[in-house]
Amino acid sequence: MSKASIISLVNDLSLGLADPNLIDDYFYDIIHDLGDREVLLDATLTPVDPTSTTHPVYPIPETAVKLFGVFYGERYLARATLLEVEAFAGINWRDIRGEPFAFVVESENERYFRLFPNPQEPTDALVFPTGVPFGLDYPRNAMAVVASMIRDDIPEWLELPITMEIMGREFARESDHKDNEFAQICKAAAQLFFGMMGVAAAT
Amino acid sequence: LLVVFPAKDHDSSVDVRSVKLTDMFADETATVEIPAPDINMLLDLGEFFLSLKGRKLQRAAELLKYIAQETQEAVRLDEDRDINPRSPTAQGQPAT
Repeated sequence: MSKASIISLVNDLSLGLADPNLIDDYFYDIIHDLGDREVLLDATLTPVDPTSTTHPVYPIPETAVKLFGVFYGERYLARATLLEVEAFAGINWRDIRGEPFAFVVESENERYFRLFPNPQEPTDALVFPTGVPFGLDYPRNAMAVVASMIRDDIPEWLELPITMEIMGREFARESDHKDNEFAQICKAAAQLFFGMMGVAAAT
Repeated sequence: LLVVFPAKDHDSSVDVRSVKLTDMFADETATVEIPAPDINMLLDLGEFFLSLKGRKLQRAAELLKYIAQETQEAVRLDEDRDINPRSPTAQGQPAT
């Protein structure tokens, strides 16, 4: 319930002046900005079925901001550009099969990636008898996608810097409660608190 | 009202982070054990938020500067301990 804590704190420190709808927008803008950094990461277990299509592609999770890495089995895959993989294996690289050692996002705007080479065997069933999907139960030939995510349940140590950043944005905008000096102090506090947590400022 | 209690000693297993302050301000009341070396900074942090809420902006800006300086000093002391474990600060003596 971190987002609720932040909204409560913003309302308290702003003496109820902050616009509730904009607090929500600022919150998600800041979470999105943090997506460029390795702060709010999730690992998603994704099955691979190379037999379902000739040139399989795999989606980046819907709520992901940025793809940071991909594991296949026990291997952390290298990120390769289209040019690199074409230089390495030729223009028919998508047809090559084997044990993947790289993943390729063909263009920045695309929400999917390919494995290189294409795996030959599908992932074992995603069943977790001991309840440890990333441990003992990690399925054979499974892929884990590591990406920054948009989410409400942020770590508690990010609540304070995000609160101050929201305050800075809210009091810097044109409104009946605009206060540049107050906004600057809030922004400076946000930068300081983000820095204390080892995170570069969100702006 | 912000009341800060010193911890028993420097090595008390207390995790002092913004979460404690966040909880404190969200829930109005909280009891937190704080290591003695962190008291000044936390008092400044507490006064900073009270000043901010009370719109005493000049005081809030001053406190933010102090907090930044205290943070830098804490980082410097940590680095000093890492680099030179036999330094006075690494052995629990105050920096001179």
